Amino acid sequence: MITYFVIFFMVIGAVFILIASIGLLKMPDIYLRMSASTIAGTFGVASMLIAAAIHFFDLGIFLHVIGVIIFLILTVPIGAHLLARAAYIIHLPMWDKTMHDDLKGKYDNEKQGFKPLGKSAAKPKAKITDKQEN
Amino acid sequence: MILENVILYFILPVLSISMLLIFIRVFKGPRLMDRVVALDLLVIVGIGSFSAYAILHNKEVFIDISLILALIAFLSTVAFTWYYVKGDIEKDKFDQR
Repeated sequence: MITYFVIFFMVIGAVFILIASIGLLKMPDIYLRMSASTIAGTFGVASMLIAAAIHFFDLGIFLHVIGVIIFLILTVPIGAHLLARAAYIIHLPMWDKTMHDDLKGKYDNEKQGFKPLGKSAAKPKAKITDKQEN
Repeated sequence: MILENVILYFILPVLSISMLLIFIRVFKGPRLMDRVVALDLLVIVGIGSFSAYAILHNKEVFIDISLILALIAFLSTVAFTWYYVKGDIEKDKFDQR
């Protein structure tokens, strides 16, 4: 009975890792590639480690596996966020069909922080109010 | 016996196919950042294959490696982005081939 649970979790993990690698190969843009690889890859590895914990059925192995899964869930999104931030600072090109970019014009590359919101945010509000008054 | 057959004939081939696809992205990737993302995923696939080998050979020692491997992957990603944003890495050397 335990064997079938192990097979179930192992197959789910392997298929999710395969989906992650296909997404890494076929996505058109670095940001989309990063999204596909991190989410599916983390879930697949967590499922395979849970399968190993069920197979050995020991408290030490179980705690070890839980520690590895929590560490992966904490660190993989942080690493992906750092990579995406570096890619945005270097101005890597986005996909042509990307609809909108929320950070456009709001990020200061030299200081590596947000621009002060005074000048950039005040102009469109003034235009809108002018149109409404007319 | 069923478990060994499933691991040998389904799990490990699927993992090796995914490693092959990741290596295609590593060699093809037009910029350096794509290669770093691909290598980051490769370490994760390595952790999964270690757990598969731990079940196949019935040894718990292989699971101990996965924590260290995850730690090394995170530290290498942080160090790479730190030096890449600072500008110490030559970008034209790796970007387009």
